[in-house]
Amino acid sequence: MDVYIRVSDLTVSYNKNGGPIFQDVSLEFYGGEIVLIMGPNGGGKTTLLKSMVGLVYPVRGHVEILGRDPYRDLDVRKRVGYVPQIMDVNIYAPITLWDLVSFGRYPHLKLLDRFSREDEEIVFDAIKKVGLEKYMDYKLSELSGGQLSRGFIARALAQNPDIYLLDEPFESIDYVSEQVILEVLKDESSKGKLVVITEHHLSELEYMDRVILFNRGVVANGPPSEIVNDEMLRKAYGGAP
Amino acid sequence: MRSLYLYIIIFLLIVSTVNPVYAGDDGLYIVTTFPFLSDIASNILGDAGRAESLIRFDRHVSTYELTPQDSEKIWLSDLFIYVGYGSEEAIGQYALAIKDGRGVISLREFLRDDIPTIVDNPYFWMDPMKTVILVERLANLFGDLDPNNREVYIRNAEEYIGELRELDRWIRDVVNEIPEENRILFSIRDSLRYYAERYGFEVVGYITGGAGVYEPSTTWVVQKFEDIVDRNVNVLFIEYMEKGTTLREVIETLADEAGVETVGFIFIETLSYEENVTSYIDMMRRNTLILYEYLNKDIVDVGGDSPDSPIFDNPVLRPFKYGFLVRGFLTLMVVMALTSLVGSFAVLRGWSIFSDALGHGAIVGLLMAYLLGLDYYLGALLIGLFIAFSVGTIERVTRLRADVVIAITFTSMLAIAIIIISNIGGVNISLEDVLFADVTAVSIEMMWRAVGSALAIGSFVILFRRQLLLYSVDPMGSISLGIRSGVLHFLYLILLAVTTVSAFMSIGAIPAIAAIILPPAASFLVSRRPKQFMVLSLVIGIVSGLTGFYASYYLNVNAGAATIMTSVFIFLVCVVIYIFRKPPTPEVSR
Repeated sequence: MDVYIRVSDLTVSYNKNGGPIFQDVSLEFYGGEIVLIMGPNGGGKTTLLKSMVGLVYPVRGHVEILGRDPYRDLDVRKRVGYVPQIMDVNIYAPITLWDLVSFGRYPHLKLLDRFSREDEEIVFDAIKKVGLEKYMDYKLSELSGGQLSRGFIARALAQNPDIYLLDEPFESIDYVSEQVILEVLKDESSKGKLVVITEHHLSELEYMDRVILFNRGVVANGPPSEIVNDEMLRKAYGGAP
Repeated sequence: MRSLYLYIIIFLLIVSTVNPVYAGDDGLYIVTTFPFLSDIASNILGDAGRAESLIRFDRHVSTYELTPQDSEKIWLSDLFIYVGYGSEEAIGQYALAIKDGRGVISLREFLRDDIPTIVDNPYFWMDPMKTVILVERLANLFGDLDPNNREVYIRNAEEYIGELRELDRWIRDVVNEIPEENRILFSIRDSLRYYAERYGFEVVGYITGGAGVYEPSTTWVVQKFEDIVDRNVNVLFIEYMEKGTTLREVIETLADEAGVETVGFIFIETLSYEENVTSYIDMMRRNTLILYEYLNKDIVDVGGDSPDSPIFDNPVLRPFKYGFLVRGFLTLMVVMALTSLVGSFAVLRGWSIFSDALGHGAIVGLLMAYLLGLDYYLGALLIGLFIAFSVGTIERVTRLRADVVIAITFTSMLAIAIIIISNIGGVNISLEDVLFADVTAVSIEMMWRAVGSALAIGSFVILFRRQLLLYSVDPMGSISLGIRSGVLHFLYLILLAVTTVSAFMSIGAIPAIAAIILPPAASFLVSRRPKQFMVLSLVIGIVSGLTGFYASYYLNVNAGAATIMTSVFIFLVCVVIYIFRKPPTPEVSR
């Protein structure tokens, strides 16, 4: 399997004088797998994910996405569909679900390009995949929390990336939306794409190829059956899970 | 407790020695607003007292800001004298508050029985014989306040009245040399009415109606222009200290349009060391000499190229009869289109108050440029860019919310503007003039600058519409989609700065801010799609400008204010639509 993301001896801290959030983390992620990064709140999962897409600068070490450095080569970010945990989106803006998802096509459009029929088909397919075709003309403020999360997944799909990075996508959403999202991601990974998800609680393990327990560093890393047991969880969470 | 009393006593003792007390033993201490008033008072007081003015030499009344030192002077004065009109009246109101109503006289009240016309026109001192009345009344009043020196005041007054009578004779002699048919006056405000009546001039027109009030409207400017042409006015007279104001721009525009070459600077409210006009008598002599210089010439036919085509009888086309109105109209349209387009991103991003900071900051830029002798536009633009970069940087470094940083920036900019205006000599820009400029006074150069900025910014916005939209509604998303957000962030701020300054220079600071915020805000409420939002915003902006322009012409109001009110009206309609809109129902519509 090809290495899609390689994290080498990565140390990240939020400001120059503060202590590190995590130190000397080395990880590899492969095409075609679904990886769950699990650990307590404040353990650095989100930071790890952000540094993997080039949004947080490391103190030491480096990150490679598809063999390229995301800090120098902004174009490689276009191949990563990143869905942040906190949606810093003005949901009251005159933006419909269709518009939100079509943003996923923007990285592929040159300055003078028009939005083509092909782009429109890709956007429509993405919306259909997350089961929201009836809500295309809804403004974001008219959607439920779960629908909005599915909308962001659809945007990542429309981007047609090689890598999906999702930061706590199942936080406070309904069961149906969670199942829809997991099925879509499973489908994408079967096409050889890498999917990385963070969660702070136990999630649908049957979908996961690999689990990384993370608390200010890698606690354990392997198939769910080997990793998810009382001993490991106690180690990662520092008490009863 | 005892030591507290001791401290208070010591403090009061110190205060009483620090404060110079002019009243009582040293004779009268008179404080006035205008310098020429303190000059007249000084002539009556002689050595038996002292008079000074709050407004300094070489300064325009509208740049005056009360300071604690001045408040102290007002408090210590035996008598505070003001005329009581326009922005000067506000100083009188301060004095009434400080002195609790005692020892303050408004000449408009004080001389009401002697000069009944003073109620409608305060500029009585332009007739030296009316000033004689003031001197007589003041000498009596001073005598009542300080009976020991009554004789001195009466004697000084008689001596001064002698000088005023001589001045009157001298003016008469000079005016007699001006050909009678040339004795027509067109001036700033109705300030030469008394002078004209005394010395046989005819006032054929004046810029701005009420004293000290400046609210020119489009129709009004047109009427003035037609008066100038009809009466073959060759020279327009303007207060020396209004050299740097929009009012002068209006006059210059009219002069250009009519082919009148000259604007003569006279002294109405101000005295000047620079120009060596340091007393009331100097002022009257200088004005007479200026009138003589400009009016004692052969009269040239004016009229420029005023078209008399019948198509201008059509009410829709009538406002376009003159070149300066066409310029004003074009500039207003271009600026409204630009602001509503660029403003729509600001409203999406929650940055609309940023234009406020820029609008106010640009005032500081204007003042700096004035002081350094730079181009106004450049000065405003440089400060605009400075604000853009400092807000952008502070926001990124401190993680304070943008609204906090912006509020800090614009209030500090306004404070700097007030300090510069009230303390550094040579600046005679009134804040009110800057806040509501007049689009009918747009020069050809300003129009082309507005068009140029609009073309440059418009093409940038169209080219980068997607990036700007994405960055405005979802900054995080735009970063993860590989957009160079840092670059875009500053580019957008620069864009907003250039837009604000362009609008500011042509329609005034307040209309500029309104034009950036109101049309997109109205559109925001009723739009569902980004494209619809921007197009509607653009339409609302242009409709507001169009309505504002016609309203200004036909209803006789300021164009900028009428434009804002149209936008506000549309905004309110959109609020109502927003309240009564129907929620959508799920359906496949694509």
